Amino acid sequence: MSRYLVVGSRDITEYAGGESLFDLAESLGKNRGDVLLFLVENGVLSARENSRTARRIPDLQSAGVRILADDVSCRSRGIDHLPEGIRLSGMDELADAIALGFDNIYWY
Amino acid sequence: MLTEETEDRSSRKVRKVTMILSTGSYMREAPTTVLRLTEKLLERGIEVNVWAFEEAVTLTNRDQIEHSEPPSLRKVIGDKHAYVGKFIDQLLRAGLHTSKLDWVTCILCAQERGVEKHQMNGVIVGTLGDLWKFVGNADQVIAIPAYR
Amino acid sequence: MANHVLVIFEKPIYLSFEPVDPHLFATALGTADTPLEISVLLKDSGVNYAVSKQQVSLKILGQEVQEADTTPARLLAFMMEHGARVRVVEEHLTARGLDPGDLIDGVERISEGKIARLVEEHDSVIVW
Repeated sequence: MSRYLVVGSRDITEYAGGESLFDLAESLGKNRGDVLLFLVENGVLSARENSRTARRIPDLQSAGVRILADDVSCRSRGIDHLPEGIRLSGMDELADAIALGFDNIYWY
Repeated sequence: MLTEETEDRSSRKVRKVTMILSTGSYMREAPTTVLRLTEKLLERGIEVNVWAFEEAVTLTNRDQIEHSEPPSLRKVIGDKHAYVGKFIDQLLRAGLHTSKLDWVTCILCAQERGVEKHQMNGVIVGTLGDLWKFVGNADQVIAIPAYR
Repeated sequence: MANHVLVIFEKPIYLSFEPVDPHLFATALGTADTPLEISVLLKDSGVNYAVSKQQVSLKILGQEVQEADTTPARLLAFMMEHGARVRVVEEHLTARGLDPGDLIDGVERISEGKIARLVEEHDSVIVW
């Protein structure tokens, strides 16, 4: 199984094609990839419960995408509660994942 | 899951990561994220190459200094603040004792910004060719997009 | 003369090695040290600056990057203490899953349709 790291570092609500990032993660997952979606910086704004972009989380989960949100980025932005399907993480877990190797890393 | 062994590239142990960064600091969080990730990769014995391109060549300007904040704002933003170069310098030094960090600034970008002669010790002023050697030799490539 | 200035924040900047987004403290200085009447409008993801529970802190190699204990919300409160009105676009809050209860006191909510009137009412507009 191929492994992919997709990093979301911006508020995709602001970009006309922003949700294509989630489309990419979902497609890679549906193609039987092992996909980690890591949200960092303003990317964690998608991790706020009831946000428009958070509505995509169930579909991403169904495609087998694991979603992590950076702890420092969440705290900075006042996000203290994550919706089901997103787990709080940090740079240690990201570095561990990179140390194991990905077939490709897509940083947005 | 991430621990599953396969025959593809991801099954090989990662020894070298190249990060491409083209944004400066003080207006962007991306350099901070690169420093955070660099620290953690070095801790894990992974060699890190940072290719600093465009505005990122100012991150290693050795003439950065602490400055006093405006008096009327000190109540809310403090007296002074850290500068990014200090942390890069310390990561370069940390690389002496953990795994190696190479920080290369693009000579073209440094020259057009007048900072070629102002790069801090330990930073290499390199060429565009070095970028592609870094990419070619890395087990993992992380390119941070230049957006605001 | 530009006595009434509308300052608009659209994109939040955190952890950039400044104590806080430099546009915020530049605006705060305008409210504290000048006779100008400055109004602030938070739109798009800039609405996040008004969230009350922000905690900005980060260590690299064991050293705190953010030496000052501050947040964008503290800067907004400071601006309001110095007479600035701070408004936030309701629709942009909703898109980001934010409720009025998530915000600091004193922030006014306006609809997106009111932005044009704000532009008309001010002498000068700064979009950071």
